[in-house]
Amino acid sequence: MVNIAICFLSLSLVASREVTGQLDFISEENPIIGGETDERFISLLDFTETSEIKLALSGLIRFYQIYISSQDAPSCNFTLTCSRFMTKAIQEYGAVHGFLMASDRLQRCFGGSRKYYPRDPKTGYAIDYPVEAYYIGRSKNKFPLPENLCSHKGTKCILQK
Amino acid sequence: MKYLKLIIVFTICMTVSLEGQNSQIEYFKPENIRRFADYLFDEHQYIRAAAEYQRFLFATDSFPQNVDSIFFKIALCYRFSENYKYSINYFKKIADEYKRSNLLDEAYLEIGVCYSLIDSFGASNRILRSYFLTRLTENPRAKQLMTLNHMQRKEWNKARDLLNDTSPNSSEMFSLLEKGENFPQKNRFLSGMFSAVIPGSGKYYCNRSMDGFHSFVTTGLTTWQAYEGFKADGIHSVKGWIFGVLGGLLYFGNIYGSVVAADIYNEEQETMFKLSVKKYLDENFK
Repeated sequence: MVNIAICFLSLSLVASREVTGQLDFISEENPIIGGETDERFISLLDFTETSEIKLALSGLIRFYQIYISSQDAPSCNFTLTCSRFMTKAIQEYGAVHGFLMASDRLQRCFGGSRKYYPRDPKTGYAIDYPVEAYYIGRSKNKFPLPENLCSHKGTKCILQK
Repeated sequence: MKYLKLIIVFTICMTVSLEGQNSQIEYFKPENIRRFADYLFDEHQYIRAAAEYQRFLFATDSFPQNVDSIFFKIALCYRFSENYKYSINYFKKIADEYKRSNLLDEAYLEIGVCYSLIDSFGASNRILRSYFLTRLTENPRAKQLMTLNHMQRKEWNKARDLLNDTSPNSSEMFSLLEKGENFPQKNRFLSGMFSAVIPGSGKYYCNRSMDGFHSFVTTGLTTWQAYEGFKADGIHSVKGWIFGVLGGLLYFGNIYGSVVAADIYNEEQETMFKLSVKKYLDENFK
């Protein structure tokens, strides 16, 4: 059953590649965005992944990105979109941690929470910490928080009093 | 008459031109290279200035008497242009080869500053302690730098021992030390517990009130919908199971997020403190 689902997802992705290829061409030949690829929407679907669960879940998210999310205007508040965040979290930390991290992220993704994050001046979206920062067992020395994001205006800090 | 005028004009132009050629500045004379390097240094064009100082050393037949000051300038250029590795090497050259230089104290201090700026606080303190040893009281700036290094390493007692009322800017240093010792910390266990009892309260505890409120509303609404579904159709309610699973995910995700939020809060405070110490270092050790 799992294999059939994976085959179905793989076929749907191959079919969608032609469409995205055309869109890439249009995007690249655009004088305004001049060949820049939008990092926000690139999925991290890794075909070398050996875990079937991770691959299936990443495929489902990709399916959502291509067929569901694309039907609406971009509504995610963050510059690394929630779906991409979830894909990365699942790939790096497994399904359980990935789901919990994504659940937390979805609860942070609303207009009112924007004050806690710096803005990307180019797109206006909120810049979140990288996925590694939200892993519960993160080592501070191995993955320190980026200094430039820590010192943004929204951070409530005693030193700014 | 017409030709005469032309000849006069031509003669004047030629004279001026030849005069200009005679008084041409010799740009490649070592003194002028040095002057140009000093000008670039004053204009904060440090990389170009460093190159000019190096060119000056190549242009002179023999190294000048005060070559240590030229090395010092090059090292400063690299320091100000944030090429700390090269800067340290130049300062070390002065420290190793020009033991009688007037700039020796300054060179050691600058090595310490450079190490601090690349976050090698231990190395900075080691080099300052090894050189200044008993003369720390004579050099308050070295002492001040060591205090800042101890603060960065969270060695509050050592920092307090070095700091006294005679230090320059002692009041600022004391307030910095107090901030470092007392910056607020959030307990990750407590944060998780709060969210387990009331969804969102852990986030509120970590100064993320809007996140907390949003979590409370979303978890509450989905759980209520699940309750309604199960109440109407019993254990076989589709609505109940859908919202139940969703509510469960949100609930546990919120607990997970609250624990992480406490960690992030603590690290943000720590980073902000370290940045303020670094800023102090930048401002006071120019």
